[in-house]
Amino acid sequence: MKSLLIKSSTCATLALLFLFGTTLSASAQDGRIQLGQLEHLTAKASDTITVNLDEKLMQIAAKFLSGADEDEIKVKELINGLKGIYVKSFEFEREGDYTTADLESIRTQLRGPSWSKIVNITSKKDGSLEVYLMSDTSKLGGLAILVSDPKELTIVNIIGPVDLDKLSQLEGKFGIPELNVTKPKNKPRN
Amino acid sequence: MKDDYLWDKSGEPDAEIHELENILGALKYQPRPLEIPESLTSPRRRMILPMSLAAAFVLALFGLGLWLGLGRKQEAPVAVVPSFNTPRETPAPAMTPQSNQSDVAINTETPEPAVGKNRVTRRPSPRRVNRDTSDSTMAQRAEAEKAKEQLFLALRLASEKLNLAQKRTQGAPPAHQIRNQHKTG
Repeated sequence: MKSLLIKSSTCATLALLFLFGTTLSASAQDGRIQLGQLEHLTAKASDTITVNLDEKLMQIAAKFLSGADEDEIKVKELINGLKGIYVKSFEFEREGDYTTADLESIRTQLRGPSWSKIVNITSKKDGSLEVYLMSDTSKLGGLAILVSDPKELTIVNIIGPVDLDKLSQLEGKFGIPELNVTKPKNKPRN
Repeated sequence: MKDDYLWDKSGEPDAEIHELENILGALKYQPRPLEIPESLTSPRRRMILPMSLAAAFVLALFGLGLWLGLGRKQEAPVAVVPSFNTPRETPAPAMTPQSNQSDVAINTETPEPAVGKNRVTRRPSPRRVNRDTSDSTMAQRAEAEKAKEQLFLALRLASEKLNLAQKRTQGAPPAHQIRNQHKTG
């Protein structure tokens, strides 16, 4: 009787794991990364940015983009054909507020055959930066950027054919000054 | 045969059977109409009429309230339209930031010719219609503005992180170069 119970519970656990895995892989197949498992970090983070823009919302936003403004024309061109943009960014006051398990929950979804890691920068001091591209037959099907430094965790997920050149040119637009990303974080040595 | 009496009452009856017949004969079926005593009638049955009247009254009240409420919402209060020749006051067009076609159509409503003098008519309040349409337009606009802000924020973050990746890949010196420097230095 006891062995039967153990067997049945093992089977149930395996079935649940299989279901969870297939759900994640299915969502990863269409380019969407599930970010719900990071919700618990909101309580720990000092700043949280969440952007959930599906195709419909982007179309609404696109209608209100000015046809006269050069920057907004570029944005309109860029988002044309995109199916969604999802961003989750946490800034922490202390180091170690998020764990490698949190990162792994995202990385696992990006290990599928459709995703390929094109950039992987790892630094003990500055954390890691990974860029993944999803190839959909001949064209680009999506982009995922995973940035983790000791006090920050950012995931950007764009679904659809995104033009990387145009996207990288957008920094410093929309009346917001360019963020000085190359500025060293540590104080210069005297 | 005594048994024949029991079968079809043709023979001579037995004394005991005859006695039993007399005793039980009082209880035999006697056809007569059903009489239900007054004490046995259900109290519910007595309440049916007043209850149905009360329900009808409540329903009528509810219907009246609904009709009045809807009437107020859809129609303007009774307005006195001036005589045929005098120009009617047209409501000022609503000043929505981006009025669409439907707004324009509502605001430029032409006055209806009234037959006779001081005819009392009900007409939809243009102010109310304008307020409703402008509310929905404002809500849509607010949603779009929010979506636009989110879009800019997301694109800015994506662009920033992409540039960061680009700069870090280009800026970091290759590993073998550092090793060589150590060797030569």
